[in-house]
Amino acid sequence: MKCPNKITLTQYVDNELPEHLRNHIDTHLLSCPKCRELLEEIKAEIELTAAKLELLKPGEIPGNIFIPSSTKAPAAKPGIIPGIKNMLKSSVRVPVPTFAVLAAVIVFMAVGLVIQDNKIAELKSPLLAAKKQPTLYMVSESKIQSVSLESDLTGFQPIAKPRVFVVKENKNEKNPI
Amino acid sequence: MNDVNENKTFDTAYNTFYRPIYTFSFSMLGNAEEAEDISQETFMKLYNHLSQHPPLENTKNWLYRVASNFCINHIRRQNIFRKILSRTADPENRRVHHPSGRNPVERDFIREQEIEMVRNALDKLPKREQALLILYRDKFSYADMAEILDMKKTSVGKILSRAREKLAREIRKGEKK
Repeated sequence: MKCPNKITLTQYVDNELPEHLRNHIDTHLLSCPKCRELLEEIKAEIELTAAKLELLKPGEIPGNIFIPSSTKAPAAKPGIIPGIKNMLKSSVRVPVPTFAVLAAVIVFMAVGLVIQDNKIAELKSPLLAAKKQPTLYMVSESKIQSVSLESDLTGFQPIAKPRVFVVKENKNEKNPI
Repeated sequence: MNDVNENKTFDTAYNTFYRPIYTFSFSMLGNAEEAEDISQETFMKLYNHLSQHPPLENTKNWLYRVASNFCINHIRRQNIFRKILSRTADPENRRVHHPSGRNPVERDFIREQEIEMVRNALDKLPKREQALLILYRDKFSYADMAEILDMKKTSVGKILSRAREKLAREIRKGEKK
């Protein structure tokens, strides 16, 4: 058998060769001191690098950052890493009074704005302002006569016979509605 | 897969592989914080994967594959920044990459020097060869290494043998200094 190259011998040491090739090399090594020497070199190389690479392992490994979901009562929703919520809970904590104060300020401002808006609207629209003054009543036919006279005085003729009128509240009369 | 099975699979994978993945990332990067970040990102990816895809055939290899890709990309980005900032010669900066994550004064100085020498020797190798050597140290088979690093199984022996030879040479050179 021809002498195997270094790569094949490395595979032999790593036990990554098929059975029949391994047997061939076993037989060959018995009769080839050169290959035995190379094999020892490879083994030394492997030992050296393995020992040195062991040094690169970490001295200490950080503890669990994830909390396994099986220890929690509800199952985690897809897309959310179990424990991430807890990480956020523990790291980003906003005190409850802050929320309360913020909510109170927002409500106060909203109420203020609504009141202010109503006042402006009243000032802008006399109709809206007058809306609160008169009271609407259904009135009898006899009342219509007197109101139509008032209409004549103002110079306007009613187009159709009105059925609903805006009249001043008369305390002596009963509310027909 | 329903939520319960999904969480169970994730928990099992997390409890079994978090430490090995952290150790691998730490050996690749030489920095505790970065290794932790990479490990977390890897498990986040697993969680998202489990919620959207069928169960993995080989979770261990999948995790190592993701972690090694994250590490290699991280080192590449870091190297670009280093080149831009030209900080490679700054001793303060090098301390950040100290494998123990501690100041050398705090621990055995000779041991720390040795670790730094191995780190420097490993840093001279291409990223894929570095990953291959660390996976070999962690007792992975050629087939698994090929799957994790997305290469042919036949290439693993060749690249590994070459990488080991280079590392041994660099270590011997470092020891002579």
